[in-house]
Parts: sequence; structure tokens; C-alpha cells
Amino acid sequence: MFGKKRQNQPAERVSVEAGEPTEHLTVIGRKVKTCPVTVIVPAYNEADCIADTVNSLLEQSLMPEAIIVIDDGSTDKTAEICRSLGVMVITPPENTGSKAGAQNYALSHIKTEYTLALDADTTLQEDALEALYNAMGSPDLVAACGFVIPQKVSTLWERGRYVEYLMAFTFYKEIQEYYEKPLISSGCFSLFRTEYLQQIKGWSLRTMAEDMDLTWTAYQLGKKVRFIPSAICYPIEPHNFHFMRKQLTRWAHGFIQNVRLHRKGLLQVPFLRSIVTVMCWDASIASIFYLTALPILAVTVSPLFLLGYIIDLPMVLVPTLVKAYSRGETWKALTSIPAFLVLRVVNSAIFLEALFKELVLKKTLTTYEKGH
Amino acid sequence: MNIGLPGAGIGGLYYLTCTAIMPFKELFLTLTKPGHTFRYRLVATQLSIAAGIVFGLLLIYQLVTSVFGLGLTVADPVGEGSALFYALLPIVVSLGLLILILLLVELAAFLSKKPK
Repeated sequence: MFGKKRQNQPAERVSVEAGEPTEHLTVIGRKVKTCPVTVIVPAYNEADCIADTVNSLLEQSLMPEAIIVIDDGSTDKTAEICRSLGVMVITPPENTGSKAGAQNYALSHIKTEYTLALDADTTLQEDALEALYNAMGSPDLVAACGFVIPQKVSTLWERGRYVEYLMAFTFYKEIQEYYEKPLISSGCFSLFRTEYLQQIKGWSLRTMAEDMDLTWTAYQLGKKVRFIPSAICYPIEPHNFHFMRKQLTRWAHGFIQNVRLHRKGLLQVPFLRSIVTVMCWDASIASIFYLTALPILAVTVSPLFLLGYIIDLPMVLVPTLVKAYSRGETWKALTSIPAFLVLRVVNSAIFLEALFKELVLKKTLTTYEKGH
Repeated sequence: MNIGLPGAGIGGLYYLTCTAIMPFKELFLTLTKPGHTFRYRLVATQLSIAAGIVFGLLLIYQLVTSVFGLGLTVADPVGEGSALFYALLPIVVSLGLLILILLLVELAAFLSKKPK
């Protein structure tokens, strides 16, 4: 479906043995293998970054059979840029209103065994698709996700997110993978068995965190999800408070909505029920303590109680530095730690606000807003 | 997607506990599951990170004790044994809380099981 690359050179395919990637493709003088994967990229006004995303797909060590960009009513040059790069562009009759809506629109166009969902602002490491594809062995395995590292690490919010991801993907997610229950197959970059997506009728619109919904549904159906740390993707993260607040609000509401929606089913999934319960406790009770008790104690008893904000620093620092060191980014990680501490306070405040709105005011968030 | 307080609270303790269980689980799988090979690299990496975290927490405790003089000494009126008790109290309380929460969720899971 994508017959050309930037240089518009023709591709040559050669079949290989079963069980391996199905064909070879010659692109710009290099022979690359292909796999039965269709990449779908929902896009709304992504002219600034879509070319990088598509180019990173075209440079994969294992090429997808098709790349489809869903131009969800963009008013900029998103569609033109994609067409100039030789990928298929489809346009829903009207804006679908959410990423999930755009992805669902593309679902009927997918003819391959696997579907890769990729955000329009997310580039991939050259072997990312190959790493995910090679992991999809067992028929029970319906989704696989990779390691997420922010593409740009400049502002306070990007730096905070950078530390958060290095820590979480190096320590938490690895343990979740070991116990065979990654919490979420990340929405920005995940490979799915197409049959599973069709079985559950695509990405659900019932919560603000469709990736979490899809992952938890899989576990309840007895399916498996994997985290493959060698598959690395680079999304653009919110660069200022305005967009970070939007994203964190959507995530917090999405988490609460998913817990309410799946609470009975979750109880039947070992390990996942423990992670979610502990997360609920930390995000609510611990956040209240963190945001109220510590400052009150600092004012009324001793300022030394402020040490409570940094006392757990090794929990963040060690996994972050382990990963940062292996990437030659130790200094960047060290200088970004303060930003993470700020982001964490904001994150917990936004979660409490979302909890209050969802449970007390019964104001469920239903409008999808982009986080950048 | 991390909600609330990533890196803080009992979540960190939970993941440390999960890591501590990993070598035993791996040993069990190696002995009981045909074809399973002990995943040394993964277990060693995660254990090293966990050990680094514990070491870091001890270091911070030492720093706080020496810089701010917050540690309870043997001269404390409650005595030497009690000093150790108070030093370990936050860990014991957090661990107790974690165990209680996990037990409650397991109980809820057991009670919610549909009879066959």
C-alpha cells in the first residue's frame, strides 16, 4: 500500500519461509523483510510531526504491509504530507471526536493478521516493530507494547515525564511483564492481533483511557498482553502546563472510569487486581496525605516534615539512572529529577480533582482533548 | 500512564516485594515447569535495582539522621531497643498496610467468585 519512500524508489518483494516475516522488500537499495502488519495512525492537525512518524515507519528493519493514516478532519496539511510520503490516507465523513473513533474507522480497512496502533506524534526506533512482531507467538497473546521515551526533553513538563517514563518502564513495567500482567498496552504504540480487535469491536469509547480498557478486557477474556522493552518509541509529550493538565486529567478520569467499569472483572485477574488496588490507594489516600498532611505538619510541627517530599527519592532515582546510564543520558536524567517532583505533585492534585468530579459530583469526563 | 503518586506510597513497596519474590518464583518454575530456564539476567537486573533502592533509602535515612539529628539515639529516654523500633516503624506500618490491603483484595476476589 505504500509503494514508495521519500526517494520514490520501487520495492521488490521476495518470499521467505513460513513462521518468519512473510516477504522481503527492497527499499532504497536495502533489502528489508515485511510482516503481516497494518499500521494505523490516527491524526488530527499533525502536520508538524506526521512526516517524522511516517518516515520512522518507512525506516523499520521489518516493514509493515500497509500504513494507513486516518485524517480525522484536519484543517492543516496532514493528509497532503502523508500522501507525498506514499502512505494511504483515509478520511472519515466527519471528525470522529476521539483517537479511538478514528482507529475504529480504520478497522474495516485492515486485512492483515496484526494491527499496529501508533500515535501521529510518535516515532519508532528502527527495530521497534520487529521486536514487537517477534514477540507475538502464542495465539492467546493479543497485544504487545514497548518502551516509551519522550522525543523532546526540554521544558519542565517534558523533563518530568522523561524521568517518570524511565522509572516506570525500567522497574514497574518490567515487573508487571514478569508477572504476565502489564497494566496497559500503551495507546501510543501497541501491536494487536487484528482478530482480537474485531472480536471486541475495536477501541471502546466508553472511557477516556481506551488503551487501559482494551488491556483489561483482554485479561478478563483470558488473553495475554506483553511488554517488550527492546521495542522503543518516542512520543511528543505535553510541553507546557496547559497541555499537561489536559492529558493528566484525561488519564485520571480514564483510570477511575476503567476501575468502575471493570471492578468485578478485575477481581478475577490475579496480580492485576493487586496492582490496581495499590494504585488506587496511592493515588487517593496517599495523595491526600502528600498534599495536605505533609504541609500541615510542616507548618504546625516542624519544617522537617517537608523532607517527606524527597525521602523516597531512591525509588525514582535508581531505576531512572540505570536506564539513563545505559542510554548515555545520566546528566539529562539527573537534572530532570526536580521536574519530576513537580510533575508528581501536579499529577496527584489532578487525580484528586478527577476523583471528586467522578465520584462525588458524578461529572464524568466524556470529551476527548489532545494532550499536545 | 502513571496515576497519582508514581514512585511514592505503598506502590513502591509493593514492587520491591514483587522483585524479592522473583528469584523464588523463577526457581519454582525451573524445577516444576518442563523446558523453563531460569531467567538470570532479568531477575538479576530487577534485584539489583531493588537493592539499589533499598540501599538508597538507608543512605537517605543516615543523611537525615546525621544532618538534621532526627535519629533516635541510645540516649533517647525510650531506650536502645525502642530506638530501633521507632526507626523501623515507618517500614513496618507501610508493610502492614500493604499486607492488609492485599489481603482485603484477595478476600474480595474470593467472595466475588461465582459458584460453579
